[in-house]
Amino acid sequence: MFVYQLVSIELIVGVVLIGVLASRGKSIAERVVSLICVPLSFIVAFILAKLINVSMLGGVVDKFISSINGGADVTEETYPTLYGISKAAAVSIGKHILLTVTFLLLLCVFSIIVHLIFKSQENRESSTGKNAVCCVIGGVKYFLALMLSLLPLTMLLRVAKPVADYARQNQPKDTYAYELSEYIDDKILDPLENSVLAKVNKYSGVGFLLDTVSDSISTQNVTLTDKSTAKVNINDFLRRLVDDGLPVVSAYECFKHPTQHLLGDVSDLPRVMKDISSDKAMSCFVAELIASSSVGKTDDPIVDKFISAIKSGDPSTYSKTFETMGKVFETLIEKDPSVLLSSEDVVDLLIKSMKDKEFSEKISEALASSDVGSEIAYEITSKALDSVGDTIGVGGLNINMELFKQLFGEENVAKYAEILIKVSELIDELGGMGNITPDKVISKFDKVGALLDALAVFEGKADTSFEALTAIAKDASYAKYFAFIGAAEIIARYENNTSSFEQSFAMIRDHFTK
Amino acid sequence: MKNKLWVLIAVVALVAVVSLTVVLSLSYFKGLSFPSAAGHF
Repeated sequence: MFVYQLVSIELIVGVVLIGVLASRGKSIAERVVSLICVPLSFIVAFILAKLINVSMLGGVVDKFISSINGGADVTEETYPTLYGISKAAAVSIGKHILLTVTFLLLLCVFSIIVHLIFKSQENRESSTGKNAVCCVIGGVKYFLALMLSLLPLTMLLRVAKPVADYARQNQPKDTYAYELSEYIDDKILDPLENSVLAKVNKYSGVGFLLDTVSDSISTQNVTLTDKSTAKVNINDFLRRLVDDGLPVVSAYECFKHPTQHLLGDVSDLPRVMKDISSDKAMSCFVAELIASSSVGKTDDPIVDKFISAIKSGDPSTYSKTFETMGKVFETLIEKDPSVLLSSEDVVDLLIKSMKDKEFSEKISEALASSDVGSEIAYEITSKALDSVGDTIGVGGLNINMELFKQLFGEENVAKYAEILIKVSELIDELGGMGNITPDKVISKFDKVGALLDALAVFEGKADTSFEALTAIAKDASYAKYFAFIGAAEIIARYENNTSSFEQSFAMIRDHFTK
Repeated sequence: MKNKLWVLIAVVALVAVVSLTVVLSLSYFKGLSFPSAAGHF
């Protein structure tokens, strides 16, 4: 971009020229000592920046974080990680600016002192030839000072450029975050990186030095939600945050319109979720961001379940939660990326795929690995059983999922796979979804019983609060009780309420207990 | 007299280059219009 190149060339030529002019008539010794002042000033400024915490942009960063989370009150008490990271980012940006300003001030001071010392000794050499060497040294000094002053620019490019490149490679058209990052890359970052100034900085070797310095002053201790502390490199953290944030924002837009997007459209989610789960600070930060956010309510019950699990979850389980979601999405996307993103279609895919042993083991293992997994398993199982009931025409098998949860316990989540396999087999035997009629249900009644019998796997998990219910069918197991309820309701509705629910119930009880 | 002329030419050239840079930079950054977030969140 013309403007960037013009400014770059003017800066380099102008600064070197000033250096040359300022060196006229001074001795080589003075210029050499003055040149040494440049790295010396930089080292002193670096040590000061390591020692001093300065949050020059604290207010701006705080406002930025507040604007993301929709106004929730982010404080050290309520959201320690969110608060800590925003402060650390502000301190890190402040340190880059502080180091550069201190470096330039020290350089001025040292140069003046050196000049005064040499002036007092009155030992200048003023031959023309030596003057030319002095001018070169002067030019090099000013050039080096300019290059070392580019530390804030280095940080900007280190944090933002990889993100912008990532956005360029993965460009869904309907996402604001992608549009914005592409625009910033096109108009600011790309021309900045390709400017003569940045190129000279890079190829002179100073760029490498600045990278190392930037990393060193960006590493800070941050207090996490569970009061533990973690060493966080803010450069890496910010880069990863945006790198992972872009696909998440994109996925969020897909979830807002689940009937217009496929599972394959969120194919980056498993990687992002695993990435988030691999770092405790990142897990806590993202979980707090979700918890503090007014954004996040979708029309999808499974996604909402995930969000509410995060909001009410124990901080020590955050990593596990993200890992679970990553595994679940990975397994589903691998199975069939062309399925619509809506809960209905995803659960349908799940039920149909449960007979695939490898798939059912993978998904069960993923769901069993965390609390949010068990919550989602309940949701899926409930939806699966409901969808069977709806298809049969009885408005669901009327299984109380709260009872279900309390009876089976979270540790048995993997066994839901068995129920889902039975559901899947049943649907196939009844002629597939859409072809199921009450006649077929009655003809396959043993199979319906077998499905509900699968619940018997969990026998012995009874809770005393169900005494009243067990009294109705005290000679049957809890699993059978569910079978009674389900089957009785099927028959009662099928026979158009000519037989009462109680009569049907008694009939089914006889069927199972004879 | 000749030296003064060179200095004058240098100053005029310097002012011209700096003004051009400032004008070009300002018009470039003023022309930036970031995509609107309306309807996305």
